[in-house]
Amino acid sequence: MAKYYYLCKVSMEKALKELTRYKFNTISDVIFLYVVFMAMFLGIKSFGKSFGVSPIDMGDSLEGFIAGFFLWTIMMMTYSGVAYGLTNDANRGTLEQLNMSGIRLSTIVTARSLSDLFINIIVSVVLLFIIMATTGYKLEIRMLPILFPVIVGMFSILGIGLIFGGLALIFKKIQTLLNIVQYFFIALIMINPGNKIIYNLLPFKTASDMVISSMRYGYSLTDFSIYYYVIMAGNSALYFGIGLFIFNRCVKLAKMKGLLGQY
Amino acid sequence: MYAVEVINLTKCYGKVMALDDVSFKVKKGSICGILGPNGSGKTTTIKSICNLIIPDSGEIKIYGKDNGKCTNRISAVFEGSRNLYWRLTPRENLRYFAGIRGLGGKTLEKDIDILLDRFNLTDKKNVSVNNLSRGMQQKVAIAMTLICNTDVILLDEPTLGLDVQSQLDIRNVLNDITSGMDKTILLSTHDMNLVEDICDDVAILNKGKIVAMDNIQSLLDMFKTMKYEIVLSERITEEGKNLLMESGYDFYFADNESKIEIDILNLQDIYKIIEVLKSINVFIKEIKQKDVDFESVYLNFTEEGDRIG
Repeated sequence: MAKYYYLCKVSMEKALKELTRYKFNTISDVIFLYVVFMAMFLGIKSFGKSFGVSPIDMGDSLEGFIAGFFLWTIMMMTYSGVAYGLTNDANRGTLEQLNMSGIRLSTIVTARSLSDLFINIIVSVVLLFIIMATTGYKLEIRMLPILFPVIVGMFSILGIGLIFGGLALIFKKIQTLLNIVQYFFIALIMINPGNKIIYNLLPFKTASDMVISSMRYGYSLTDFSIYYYVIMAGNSALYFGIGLFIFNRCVKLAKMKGLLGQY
Repeated sequence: MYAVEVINLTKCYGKVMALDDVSFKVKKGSICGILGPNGSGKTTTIKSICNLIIPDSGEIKIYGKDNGKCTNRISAVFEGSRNLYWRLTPRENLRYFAGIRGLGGKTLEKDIDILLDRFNLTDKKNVSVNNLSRGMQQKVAIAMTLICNTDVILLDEPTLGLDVQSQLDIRNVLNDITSGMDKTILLSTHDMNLVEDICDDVAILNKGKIVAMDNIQSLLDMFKTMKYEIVLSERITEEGKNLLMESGYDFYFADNESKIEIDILNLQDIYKIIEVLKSINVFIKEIKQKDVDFESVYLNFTEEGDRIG
C-alpha cells in the first residue's frame, strides 16, 4: 500500500508544482474559457431575444447553461490531462521512464489524473464564481452535492481519456480527433434522450444531471434515490474498465511495435 | 550469476531485422559497452532489456529471472536530453521518479541530498532542469536512476552532445557508481575513449547481430600484432599506390600519402610488403608497430561485417 501512497503523493506534488510554475498557462486557460463562455452566453441570450423567448424562461435555461459549462470545463480538462498528458510524456521521453517504474502505466496515469482533477475542480470553481459575478446569475454552490457526483462520475471521462490516450500512443498524429472529443462532451451534457437505457449508458450523464439539479434547484445528496448512485457508479466503472482495458492493450501493442518512446 | 542474460533475442520491424539472434551476458558489478554503428540494434537491445520493446523471440533474464518480473531491478537513461521533467528541479525530479516506483519517506530525502552532493549538484538542487547545462541534466538523469536503487542501470549514449569537461564528469560518475555502489551498467555509445576507459566487457553489434563479445583487453590483444605503420621518405605516387593495392593487402594512406598503415594477419607479411615497396622504388624511413586503440578494433569488426554483408 505504501508504494501507492507515495505514487499519489508525488503525483499531487507534481500537479501543484506545475500549476504554480505554469502560472501564465493557468491564467490564460481561465481567460480563454471565460471568453468562450461569454461568447456563447451572449450568443444564446440574443438568440433567445430575437425569437421572443420570455426573460423568465431564458433565465432558467441560462442557469442550466452556466452549470453545464462548469461541468464541461472539468470534463474537458480531465480528458485533456489524460490524452494530452500521455502525448506530452511521449514527446518529452518521460513516458519511457513512467513505463519502467514497476507500477502499471495505467495506474500512474490514473493517479496523476486524480491529482489533476483536484486542480481542475479548483480552477473550474474559480471560473464559475467569475461567471456568476459578471453575468448576475446565481447558482446554489453546495460543495458535497457537487463534488461527490463529479469525482465519482469523472471516472467515466477518465476512461474515455485512457482510450484516446492509448490510441495516440499507436497512431500518433490524431490531434484533430483528440480535439473533437472535447466538444463531444458539450453534446453529452446538452442532450437528454428519452430512452432510459441510452440515458444511463451515456458517460457522465447521470452525474452531470445530479450536479445541475443541485446547482439549479438546491438538491442535496439525500434528494437522489439509490438508483441514481448505482447508475452513476456503474456508468463510471463501465467506461473506466473499458478505458483501462483498451489502454493496456495499446501500451502492449506500442511495445511490440517499438512505438512507446516516439511521437 | 550474471546480472543480465540476453538469449537468442530477435526483433523485426516489418521487413527490417533489427535484432538477429542476439545473445550475451553481463557480469554482476561490471560495466558492459554495447557498441555498433547507427541502426545496428543497440537501442532496440537496451529497450528490450528495459521492457519497453517486446521482442519477437528470445529471453532476457535479470539475475536469473525474466525481465518482465524484474522492473524494480532495472533503470535507464535514454539518449538525448529527455528522461526528466524540465519544469521541475533536480530534487523534485528525483523525488517524483522515486515516488512512482513506490519509494519515499525521510530516508529518501536524505538519499537525494547525498546523491546530489556526490554529483556536485547541491547548489543546483532547486533550479529548474531546463535552466541547467546539458552535462548537468545528464548527471541529474543518472542520479535519477540511482535514487531508484536498482541493480542494473542502462545508459543509451550518456555522453552524446556533451562538452569535454561534461564527458569527463560523466566518466567519473560512472566509475564511481560501479566501484562504490555495486551496480551493473550497460551502456551504448559511439565514444570509444569512454569504452576503453571504463568498460570491462563489450558486445559489438552490426546489422542486428553480435559480431564480438569479450573483455576489452582480449579484443585489443586480438589485434595487437597486426597493425604496422610505414613512414616513407617521400609521398607515394598514384601509380605506386595502385601497384601497392594490387598486392592484395588493405593499405590506409595518411599524412599526405607519405605514411602507410597496414593490417596484417601474419608477421611474415611485413617482409613481403617491404619487397613490394622496394620493387616500385619507394624508400622507407621508418617501420613501427602501432598501438592498437579500441576504435580500430571496433572498426575492424564493423567494417568486416559490412564487407561480408
